[in-house]
Amino acid sequence: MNQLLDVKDLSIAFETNEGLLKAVSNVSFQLHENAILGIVGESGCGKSITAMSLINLLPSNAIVSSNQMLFNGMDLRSIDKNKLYEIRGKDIAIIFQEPMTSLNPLMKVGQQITEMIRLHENSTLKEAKQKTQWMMKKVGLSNVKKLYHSYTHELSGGMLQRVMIAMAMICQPKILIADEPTTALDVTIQAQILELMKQLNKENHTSIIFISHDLGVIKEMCTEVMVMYLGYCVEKADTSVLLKHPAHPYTYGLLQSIPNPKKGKSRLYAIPGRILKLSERPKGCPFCTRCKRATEKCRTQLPELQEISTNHFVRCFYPLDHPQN
Amino acid sequence: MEKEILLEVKDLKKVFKTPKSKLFEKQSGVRAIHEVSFKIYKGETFGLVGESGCGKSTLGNIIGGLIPPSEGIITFENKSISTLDKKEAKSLSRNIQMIFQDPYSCLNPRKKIGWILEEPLRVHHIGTKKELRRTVYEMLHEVGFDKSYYNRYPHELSGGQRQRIGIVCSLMLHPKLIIADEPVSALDVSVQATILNLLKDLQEKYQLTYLFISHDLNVVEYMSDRIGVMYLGQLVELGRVEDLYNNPLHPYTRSLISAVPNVYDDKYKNKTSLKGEVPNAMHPPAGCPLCTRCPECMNQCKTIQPPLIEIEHEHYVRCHKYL
Amino acid sequence: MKKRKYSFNFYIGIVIVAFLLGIVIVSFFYTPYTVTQMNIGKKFLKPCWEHLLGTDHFGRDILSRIMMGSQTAFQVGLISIGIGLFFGILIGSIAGYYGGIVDEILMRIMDAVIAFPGLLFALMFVAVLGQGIVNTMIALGIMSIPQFARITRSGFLQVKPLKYIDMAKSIGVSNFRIMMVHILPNVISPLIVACSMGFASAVLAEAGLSYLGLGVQPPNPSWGRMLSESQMYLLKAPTYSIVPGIFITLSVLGFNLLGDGISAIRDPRK
Repeated sequence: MNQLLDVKDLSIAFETNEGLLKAVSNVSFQLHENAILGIVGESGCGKSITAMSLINLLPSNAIVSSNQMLFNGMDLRSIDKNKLYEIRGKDIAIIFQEPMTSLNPLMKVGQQITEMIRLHENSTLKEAKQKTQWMMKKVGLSNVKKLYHSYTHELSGGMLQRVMIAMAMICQPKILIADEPTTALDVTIQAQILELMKQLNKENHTSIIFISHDLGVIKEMCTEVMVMYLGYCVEKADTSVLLKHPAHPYTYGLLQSIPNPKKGKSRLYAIPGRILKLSERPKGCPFCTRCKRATEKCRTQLPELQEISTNHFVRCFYPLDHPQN
Repeated sequence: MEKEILLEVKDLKKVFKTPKSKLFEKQSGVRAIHEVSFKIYKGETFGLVGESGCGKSTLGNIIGGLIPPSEGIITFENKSISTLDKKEAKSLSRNIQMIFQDPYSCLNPRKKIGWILEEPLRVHHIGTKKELRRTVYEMLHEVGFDKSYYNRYPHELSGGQRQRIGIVCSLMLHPKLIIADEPVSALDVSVQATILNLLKDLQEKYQLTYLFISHDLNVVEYMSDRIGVMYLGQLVELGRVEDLYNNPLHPYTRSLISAVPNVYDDKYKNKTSLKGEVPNAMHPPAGCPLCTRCPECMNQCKTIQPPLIEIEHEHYVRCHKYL
Repeated sequence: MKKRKYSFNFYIGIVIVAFLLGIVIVSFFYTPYTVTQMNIGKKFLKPCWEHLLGTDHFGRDILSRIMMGSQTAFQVGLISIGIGLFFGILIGSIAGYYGGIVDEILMRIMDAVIAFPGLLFALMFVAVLGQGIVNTMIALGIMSIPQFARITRSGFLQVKPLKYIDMAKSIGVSNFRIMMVHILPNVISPLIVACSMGFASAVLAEAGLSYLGLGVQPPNPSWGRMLSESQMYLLKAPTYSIVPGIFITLSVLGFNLLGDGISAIRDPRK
């Protein structure tokens, strides 16, 4: 499989009044062609800004540094502005959590998609319109001619998210960044949208970076998962491996704290303590304040990301047992 | 043993009137709750699931006394709520308390935690100032806070901590029924578990009855003894958790259960996903509410509303298939 | 307590207001001369050691009259703001809390009051009910009601849909208590700012009315009245008109700056 995206040692910090706030530290990941990479974590773990930094969509007080950020052999760190605008939308598209606020309420939805085509492709208005309607049909919208001339407030959340996806997919991007695309939707609608994204992934060979806090959704969508905690990548593996044999105590805790029908009504496992603020990041392992297995070493030294089995990385001094070891 | 009924809801209806846009326009309404009936037994957790806009929160608010029903009877401990006078209504509000979804707006930002927790007792004239303070300390200790939290403001607390304060606040009056309206949906996964455990512990300790409202089927299943499934203001299925999950009868329940992404299920589930979207509540279908999306829709579904019937013991469904 | 950052405006405002308040307090116990004591032989004196700010056309001590005038200014400000605040909060909270037709009626009445130009209304009021300081205060008070009512109402509309109000209701808190204890404290900071600014405009309005001869009646001193009496002698005794002018400006400036400063800091979340 071809490597589409190769990011090494990505760090992001924000300049604030109280000084430099480190939000993401030394995150590395690769995205292969046709793959779906999941980034999972709780609020404030840096999962969204990691993805946003790829196409430079961060606020101006952010400082991004990395050893490598290759997209299709092109260095994303050093490209000029015009090139970046070209990549945005055409090669790397993005859909957000809130479809309601991500679309312009004063513009017809069809027009918004058509504009996307006209920005990136040399096509006449008529061609672009036709392509828009074709794409709208493809993402499962019916009565396309009428919808083309609707405004956002006339559409439901599920339909808007379909419009967002149509807009993102219209230029057949190589990478689609989906930032919690179904969190604001109902479960039956969520199932429809997930199905649609999988289908697009198969048919158009678009790679997806799928950001979510819901391990259930991740399990259904992704081939590979990266678990983030307080700006660090704490575990990275194939989805099935990670869910079956979590090696990092945090991943394990996350999985255990989801109600399991098989275990019945016994008490849930709850990770003790609270999620720290970014400004309170401990010196050692980010998870040491909530980890039962933490030792003095964990509190003072930051563990490195180590490979414990093929393609299974974990950032922990004492990873949980793995059957292959 | 006959179970004791704590709360009974009969033929409850609620129509929200929409504001008139023209002076002589005929006033229309949104049907939020339509012919909902169920019982809650003492000591159980009754779960209410459904998607956004299905009326589950409205139902919670009506039972909690925040908004009046349009029609129907609610009985609490064999007393009809609608016929209560002001004094009785106040004592009733002691027995039914609510927990809300958003931990960020459920605590008054201008008041200290201690004040917020004392307020229920103050309003009901229980105890002197000293006693209030002592009770609050005890309750804070109960959910794992030390005394210093008495003098803190809500913005100094994290989301999970605030939700715990919200829970304590609803417990101050030792109510019999607690209506928990999406108590964990706004919280991170690792914090959710803490709150769910706490709710279970408190239920055991104080013999509480919960009306647990959520859109998250995993959570509802974990918490509840019996579950009601709502769709477009109607109760479409009602039954014990085991029955409902092992043998879902209504097509909506079935698709709802199959649509939930589950970490623990190994096999790829056979999805019976629903097509289309929830119809506008201002113009609900004439027949079964699901008829516009149902894969098994028959002719009579479109015109006749099915009644809620008992299929097996304690398992009700509102569907033409079972008539 | 956490340390708060106060703005520069706030400090200046505080200093000016404290200075004026000091004058008011001192004037209750001591003025250099009796205010009404005339001395024709000593009229239009320039500032000197005997009369620090000079004397007026009847030979009365200007400093003493300014000091007594400050009492009038503060009295008018406080009482008219008090009237406005009381009825404004009452009307605004009822309108904001209950909404619907009640809100509609109350706020239309407020609109009607706003529609009158303030000074004109006060003139009419005083003309109909008679001149004097009491009627002036009532007129100014009524004119400031809509402003407070609007601020209160908009605050109520913001806070009312929040969940802690539902929570209070479910506990069994009465409507009145929810309005006054649960919601009002969240609305109080814009009200304080409005009070401060309103105080300034009340002082100004009183000066204006008295200048026109409708407010405070002679021989009681008032800054506005002094200004109007002095204008005939503007060239002969410039200090006579400059001094009350400075004090009116000072009090308006002081309270406006104070209001500005308060609005910047009255937020515990910052």
